[in-house]
Amino acid sequence: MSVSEIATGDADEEHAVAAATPAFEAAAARAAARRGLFMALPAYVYLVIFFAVPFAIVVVYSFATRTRTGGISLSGWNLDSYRRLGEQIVRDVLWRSLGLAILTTLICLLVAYPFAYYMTIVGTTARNVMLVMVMIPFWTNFLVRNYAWRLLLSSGGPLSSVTEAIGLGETDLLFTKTACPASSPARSWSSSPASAPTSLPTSSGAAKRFSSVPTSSPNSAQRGTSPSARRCRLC
Amino acid sequence: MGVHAGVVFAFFYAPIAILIIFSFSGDRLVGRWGGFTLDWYREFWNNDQLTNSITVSLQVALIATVASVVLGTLSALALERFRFRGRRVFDALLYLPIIIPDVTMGIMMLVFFAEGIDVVDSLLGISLAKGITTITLSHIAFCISFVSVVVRARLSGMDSRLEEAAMDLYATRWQTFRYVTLPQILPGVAGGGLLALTLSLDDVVISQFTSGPGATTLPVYVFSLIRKGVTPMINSVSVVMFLASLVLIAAMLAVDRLRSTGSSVPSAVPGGDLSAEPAVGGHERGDT
Repeated sequence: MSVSEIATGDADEEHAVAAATPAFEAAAARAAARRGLFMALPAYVYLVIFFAVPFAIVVVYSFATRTRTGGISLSGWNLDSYRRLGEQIVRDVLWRSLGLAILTTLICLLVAYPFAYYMTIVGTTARNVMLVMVMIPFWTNFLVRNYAWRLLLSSGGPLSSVTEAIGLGETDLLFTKTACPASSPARSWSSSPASAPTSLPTSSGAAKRFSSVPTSSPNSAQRGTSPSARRCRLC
Repeated sequence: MGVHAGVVFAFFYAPIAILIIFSFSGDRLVGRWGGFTLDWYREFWNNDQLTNSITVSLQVALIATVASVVLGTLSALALERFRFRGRRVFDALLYLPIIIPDVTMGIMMLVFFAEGIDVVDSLLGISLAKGITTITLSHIAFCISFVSVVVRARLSGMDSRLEEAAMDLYATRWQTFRYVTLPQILPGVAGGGLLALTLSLDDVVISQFTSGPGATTLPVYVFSLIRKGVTPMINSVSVVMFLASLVLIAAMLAVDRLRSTGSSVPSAVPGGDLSAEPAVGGHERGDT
């Protein structure tokens, strides 16, 4: 909607005809701008105080020095905190995070693509059911989800008993690197087949990154026909 | 491919099924079956700290939802329908809480509340209690963004000519909003509200950083329980949290239905081109 359109809509009834004069249009546009700012103001002010300011404080602190007592000294600005990113232990953690993220992404792509494709070729009812079943783990609290994984993978737990019974010996995957990609796809997978939660950036940036790719082609072929497209508006 | 889907669902639901089964297990060891019992649910119910944390969670979530729905809807309307100074900056500011990692946001809020709260207190002339208030304030900060994104999506799909027509027909701005805009965007507002509610109820990281003594939300408390050592009571708590998510999902599906029926109103407008919202109408058409 252009400014002039708003301005016309904004005009008082008796002046509707006079809207043609540029001076009037300019005044109406200014009124619309004031109104817009007025409506945005509460959220604007809120986010400045409770988001922008905290953010600025952290940025400033990142250049400050730590005092002996653990406080922050606001003098002697330096890059020490950034230099510490180069330390071995930090580097290791960064690489491990990146490696796990990439591995998880690949597994998710491989698994989610056929799943998403399958969703587009089943009947409507089956598709809706599948979608809901995908939504459920996605919206489940991640603590609950991860705790459930912990329970399943725990030594002496269900998975371990099964592998022992069939003669594979006890498994102890918990707290290993294997456990991490095994459990984390729960989130990313669940978003990808649906193509749904992807349209809205979720709090988990990872899920968002992982999921946009696999859905694009099968679903876009049927864009508008798939219930998942419809659900986009919700999630 | 059906088998593949089955395996995926098994992957999704096996842990949850195990969780539910073992919440009824009588054995003290979490992963071992020891006969059916409801003891863990009873213990959960009698744990005051736990029930308190549920109350705190609900309080925080309700206040955060209402506040962020109002602020988020207003900002969505402003961004979608008006041009004003600072619009771009505001737009960018709204997206930041969505993309920023939870941990970063948590640390930001922690530092802010630890160091800056006195300044805010003196500026606003009030005294903010640390704990529930700080959790709620930071939840509102990220919920506004999510609500505004959802409402904006709905607004951009709505034909703005409907509002213009209403004002042509001598409706005041308020009447236009009340009788034309609001009914149209209501599913978006409700969807955004449910999203805010879910995010607030689920949040662990940010709450962990901003909670104070005596004010712990349920996820934060459960997290501390898990870290302290696993007792089977956590199973029962998790099952209850899982059931709560199911209720929220049911509500979302209901809102979704409301959304599709809402589209019948504009389609009654003669000549109204509503292709701007293909997702709604397209569904029924494509299924035949």
